[in-house]
Amino acid sequence: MTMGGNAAQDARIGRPRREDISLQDWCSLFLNRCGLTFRNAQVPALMQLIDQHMRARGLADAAAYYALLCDERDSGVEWSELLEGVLNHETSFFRHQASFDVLKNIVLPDLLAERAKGAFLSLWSAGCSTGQEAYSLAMIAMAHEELGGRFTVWGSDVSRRVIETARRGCYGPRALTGLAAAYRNRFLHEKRTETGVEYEVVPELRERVRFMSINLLSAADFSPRHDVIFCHNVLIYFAPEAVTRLLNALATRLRPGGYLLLGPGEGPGDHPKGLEPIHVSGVRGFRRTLQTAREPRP
Amino acid sequence: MRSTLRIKTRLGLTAGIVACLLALMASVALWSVREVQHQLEAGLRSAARTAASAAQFGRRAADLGRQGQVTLEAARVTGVEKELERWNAAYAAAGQELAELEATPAGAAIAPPLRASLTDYEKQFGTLLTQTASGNAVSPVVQSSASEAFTRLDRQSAEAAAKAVDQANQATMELDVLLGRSMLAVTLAVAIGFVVLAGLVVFFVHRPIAAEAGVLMGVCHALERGDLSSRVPNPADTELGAIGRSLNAMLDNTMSLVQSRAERDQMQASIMKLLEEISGVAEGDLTVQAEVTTDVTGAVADSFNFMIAELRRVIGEVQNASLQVSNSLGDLRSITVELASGSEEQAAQAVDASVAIEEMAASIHYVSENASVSASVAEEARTNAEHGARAVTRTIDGMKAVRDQVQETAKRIKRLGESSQEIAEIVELIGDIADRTSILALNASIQAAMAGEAGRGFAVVADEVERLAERATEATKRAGTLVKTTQTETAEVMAAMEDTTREVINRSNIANEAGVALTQIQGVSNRLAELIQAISDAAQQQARGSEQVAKSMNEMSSVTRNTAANTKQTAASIGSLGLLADKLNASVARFKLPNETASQVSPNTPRLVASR
Repeated sequence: MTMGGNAAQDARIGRPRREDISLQDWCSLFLNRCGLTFRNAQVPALMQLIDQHMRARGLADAAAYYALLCDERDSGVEWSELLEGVLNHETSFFRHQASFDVLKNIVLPDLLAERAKGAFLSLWSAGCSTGQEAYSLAMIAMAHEELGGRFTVWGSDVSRRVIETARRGCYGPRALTGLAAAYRNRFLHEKRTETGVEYEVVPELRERVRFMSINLLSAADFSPRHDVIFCHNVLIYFAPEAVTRLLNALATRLRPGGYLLLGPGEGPGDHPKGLEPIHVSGVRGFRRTLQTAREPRP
Repeated sequence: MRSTLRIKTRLGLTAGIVACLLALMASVALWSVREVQHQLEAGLRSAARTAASAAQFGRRAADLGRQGQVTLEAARVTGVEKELERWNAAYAAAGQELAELEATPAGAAIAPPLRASLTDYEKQFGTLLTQTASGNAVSPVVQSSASEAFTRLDRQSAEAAAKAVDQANQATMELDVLLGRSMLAVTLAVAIGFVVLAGLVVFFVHRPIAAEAGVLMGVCHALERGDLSSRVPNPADTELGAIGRSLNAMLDNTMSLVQSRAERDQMQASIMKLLEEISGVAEGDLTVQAEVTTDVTGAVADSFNFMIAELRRVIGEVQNASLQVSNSLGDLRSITVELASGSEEQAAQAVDASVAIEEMAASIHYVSENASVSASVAEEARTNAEHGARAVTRTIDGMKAVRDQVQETAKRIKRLGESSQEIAEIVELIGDIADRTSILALNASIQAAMAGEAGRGFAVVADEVERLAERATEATKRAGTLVKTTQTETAEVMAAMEDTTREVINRSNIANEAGVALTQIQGVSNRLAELIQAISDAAQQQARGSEQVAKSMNEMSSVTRNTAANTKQTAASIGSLGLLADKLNASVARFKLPNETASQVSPNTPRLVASR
């Protein structure tokens, strides 16, 4: 059972009475289900959004809408719809270049030295939004000659909508900002449409990237283990306690010696269990200790 | 007869009168029939009553006769009183019945002979009864005259009954005849009433209307013949009169329109000419000019020329204006379309920017939160350093105390060493004393031996003293050794104490250095805490700023979206305006103008259709 699921059940049991659904209750709902927290400045927009969805559902009072959401599973239609409204899908190719440089120059060579020859690497872009980050990882892995294409990139996001976009792999000209010409020429295909120009990820790259819609808090249920987890600009939306929960969950998804790369300034003050920080300027990263690896598996 | 009554009124009145008359006739007929019926019924009832009374009297007379026989028989055999009483009753009944018969109108005629016969019979019967009761032989004369009287009564009553029935039958027949006559009279009266009514209707309704219609038809026939001078004379104030008046007015108007033939022909010719001249206008040719003649069409031609000149000017202006509108709209449209796409692009960019700034705000907020945590950690470090410094100070104090204590102890030990020396001297003195004692004891034992037996006891004492002296010497030696050992150890302790004191002093110096280092750390921590606080403050300020920017961006993007939508709307409006201008152009393009007035508008003027 995921933490999110448990929390959601708790929320169902301790559901407030109809009359008094406060901001606190809404925040708890988001916190328990997704770990999301809101800044004070976002509160009016949040309440407006809730109001909009409530009306669209044809409900007159917030309590009824709240009850409806509580009755739904985490993947329920109404909940997903509401969630779409609070998520920020900002992303771009090779956003925070330093992290990608570390991947290319340190992480991949290190993993290749550590792993058995011919090992297959698994990279995960956790919170991939419209997929540019996952494709960026794939571009680097693809261009890495020593790796020889033995890798899979996974991209996940809680929003189903952006996952659809990511799977399509078609981007407008503005999304290409920050993408080196070499990568663009090799991995993107220019396509003319009725409305203008679009750039489509070439099938060769697209088939190496798998996308799925999952809640990161339930990442511990997500069976594969990865050599690299890329989680950028995600934790900034999470409440401190949720950050700790999430990082512990992500740590269990790393193979021994695997790397967790966070966005600049992200992450907790003390590093998660079983992870040791890597010291590269401008990059926030952890490596799963190898000692753990040498312990016999249960 | 002339009447001013309207047809409607007339018909209404007639209908009213007819209804009244019919009601009157019906009531008269009903009354007469009912009267006849009453009479009939009364006659029949009277005749029937007479007949019934006559018959009843007959029966009563028969009863009287039978009772007379019984009474006579009784008079002969037994007593007469009882039967005579019955006879009297029967006689009274017959008398009463006869009185009733007399009361009926028809009975009065037949009753008197019956009354006479009844009286006669009563007389005869009284005589006969008297004779019979006397027990004498009844004279046959009396008997026969009594019998005769009864027979006469009986016969007369039968006749009277038959006569009454005959009378009743006769009355019925008479009344039947009377009834038939009355019905005939009523029927006749009704028929006459209808005839009178028809006459009234004809007189009051048909005749005046027919007269007026006849006049109108006369006038119409005259018009058919072409006589336009015919008029309806003195039209009355009725509906047909109104038609007549209208007809008269119409005829008057028509008369006033009719011109003489020559005049008409001339006018027609000049009108035809004028029409021919201006017919081009119908096809849109505004170059035509009508000839201004002296006749009546001249003025028309003049006005026409003026009108065409005005029309030329107006159409020329319209053509110019619509051409200009078309051209301006073309420019405007391209500008607006560009503007719309620009606005859309801008809106999209604004949305992108606002999303990015939103994320930046989240990031800065996150950093600010973290900085706050760091500030508290730094604060904690500073507190810890402070604690450390205090601990070091306490350590140094403790060390100082130790050093003092050590020095004090050293002093005491030194004094102890000096005391040992004194003890050693005392021990030596005791040793000397013991030695001397031993020599004295030896001398004493020698003296005792010299004294012989007398000195034997003294010799024992001297030996004991010697042994004591030896033991004292021995003890003194041990004490001396001990004192020497003590002195050595004290010297060693002294040396150790001196070493310790030096060590303590060294440690104190190190602790002092640690204290200084900790104080420095404290300073650095303070500085760090301040710096982190500054970062935190700055981050918070940035967070607020970025919130503001995000908000502004959101507002801007919504404004831009609106603008884009409005611009699109404007483009669409311009498109439809262009269509209107084209339509206007097309509608005035078919007018032909003299060359100098306006350039012909090309039929291929580009159409303005908003692409979006």
